[in-house]
Amino acid sequence: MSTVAHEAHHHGPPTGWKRWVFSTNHKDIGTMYLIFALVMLFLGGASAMFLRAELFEPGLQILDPDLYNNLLTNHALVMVFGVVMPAAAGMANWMIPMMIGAPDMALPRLNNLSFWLLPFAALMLVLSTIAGQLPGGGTPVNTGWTLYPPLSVQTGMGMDFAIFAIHILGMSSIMAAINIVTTIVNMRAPGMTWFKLPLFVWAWMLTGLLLIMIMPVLAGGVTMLLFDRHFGTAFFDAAGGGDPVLFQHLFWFFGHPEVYVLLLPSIGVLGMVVPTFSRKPLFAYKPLVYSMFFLTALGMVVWAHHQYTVGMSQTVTTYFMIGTILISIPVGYMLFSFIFTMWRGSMTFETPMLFAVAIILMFSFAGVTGVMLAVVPADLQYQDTYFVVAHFHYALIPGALFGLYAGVFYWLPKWTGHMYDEKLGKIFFWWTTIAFNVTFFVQHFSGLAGMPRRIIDYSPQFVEFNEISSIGAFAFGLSHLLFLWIIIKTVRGGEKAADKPWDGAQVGTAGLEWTLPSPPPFHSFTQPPVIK
Amino acid sequence: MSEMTPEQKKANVRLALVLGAIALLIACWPVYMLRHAVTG
Repeated sequence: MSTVAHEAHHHGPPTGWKRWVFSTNHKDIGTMYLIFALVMLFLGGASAMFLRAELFEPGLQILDPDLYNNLLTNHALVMVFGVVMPAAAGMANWMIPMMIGAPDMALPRLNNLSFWLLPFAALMLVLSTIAGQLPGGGTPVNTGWTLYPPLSVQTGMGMDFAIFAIHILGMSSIMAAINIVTTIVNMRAPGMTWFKLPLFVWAWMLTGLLLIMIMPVLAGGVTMLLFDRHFGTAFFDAAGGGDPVLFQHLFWFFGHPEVYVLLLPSIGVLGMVVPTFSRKPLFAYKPLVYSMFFLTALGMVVWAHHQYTVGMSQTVTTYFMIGTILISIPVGYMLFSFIFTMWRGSMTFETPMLFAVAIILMFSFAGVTGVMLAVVPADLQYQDTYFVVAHFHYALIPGALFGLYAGVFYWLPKWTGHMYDEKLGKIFFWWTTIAFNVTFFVQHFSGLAGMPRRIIDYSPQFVEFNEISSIGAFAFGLSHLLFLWIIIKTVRGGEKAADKPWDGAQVGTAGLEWTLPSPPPFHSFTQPPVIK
Repeated sequence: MSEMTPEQKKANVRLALVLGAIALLIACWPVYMLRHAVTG
């Protein structure tokens, strides 16, 4: 290597805007992903606040039906594609190279492109909402995130923006996934064998593979939708010989594994947090990795349990029912693995651990309602009610979002070099957890009583349920201002974090992230470490 | 910027291309259907 090139590798970070726009550094790109996700969290959260304000009373208050459904679509797309996936990708960017002893991601320039596509996609999503409100914009995007035809073929130009946003998001996700998988396969330090990998790395390996397999299907599906809208094809139009149910299959072939794309990184975070604060190695690490493989494989072949009511044959629905119920085996195994890690451990309950325990409890609850929904005759009753809304919010808020919060609190000292305010962290945990349960627990009852989802108005018998739910939602939304404040406070200063701020970190794992200073230098592991 | 050897860079690009090709192949499934829709 030439001297000039060698010196270029050791200069500090570039200054000014160029540091961020042209960044190829995994830590800087990770930071940008995390900031982007935080901004989008407030955007998606604001949509939810409007929805809950509208639902506080029956009748129409502040929104019209189309705008209500547009905000509902926007909320889901933003939370899935703008918050959880970028936040998990941000954590992967920050932590995977440091855990496996790599100097950076395998393809740093591709990494830059993967991130910088996101703001444009977010702009498209915002435009998809604005377009429906403009004169000549046609009907707003009122389909929900599933974008089912024929409604999605009939909506106005906002749908084109939404489809374009999904294309860009898909490209970004696929490129990020390719980069992460390549990094894990090719960039591990000598001695970092597959079964020494921290669970977070395994979780992202499988998430990356899932993304590579499912995102192209969504991209293809929405492209066909675009053709139906503008180029005279009839893939999903029964009048032209097409079939709208085909879109449902394409969408859920992506959409169900997507649930595991959202969940797996958080399971990976649990695999780091629980052993640390139990001061015990992860219980049954290898079977846990195998169960993640099993979950990934099963998750790919059960998509049509979202479509029990479309008139599939009994044989087909029975297959999807059994497949779906089987998923409780690997998920149950994972949860028991975490519980047995805690068993007789020397446990302490710092904020990341509080989130971990809450996740195990509340995600198990979502598992129980999930099994209920998997059973065909029962699902025919629950379909399109608030019971489903309650179920997937119990799966995704603890299962994905709280896992990411646990990760933020766990790694914030490493990222910033400062300890966060533990007292404020615990206040945030209790505030957000109680508010979350107030919001969504009652929705099980309104759903079982028959309240339909995705409708702006409701019958007067559901008033109490909805008032409680809205009050909880406002408290839940408000708690995130505290979350923002904790992060800002930690970034700006505070108690200096040690290189290994948690005394139980690295128990039973070969991960190298805690061997670096806090915050880590701009370039880390320029010489590959050797793991014994 | 990382301290990757040329061999490592080549290996990374090779694997990324394979994974990208798999993604493209999967995306071709709807395109295949599109061809049939156009040609009947």
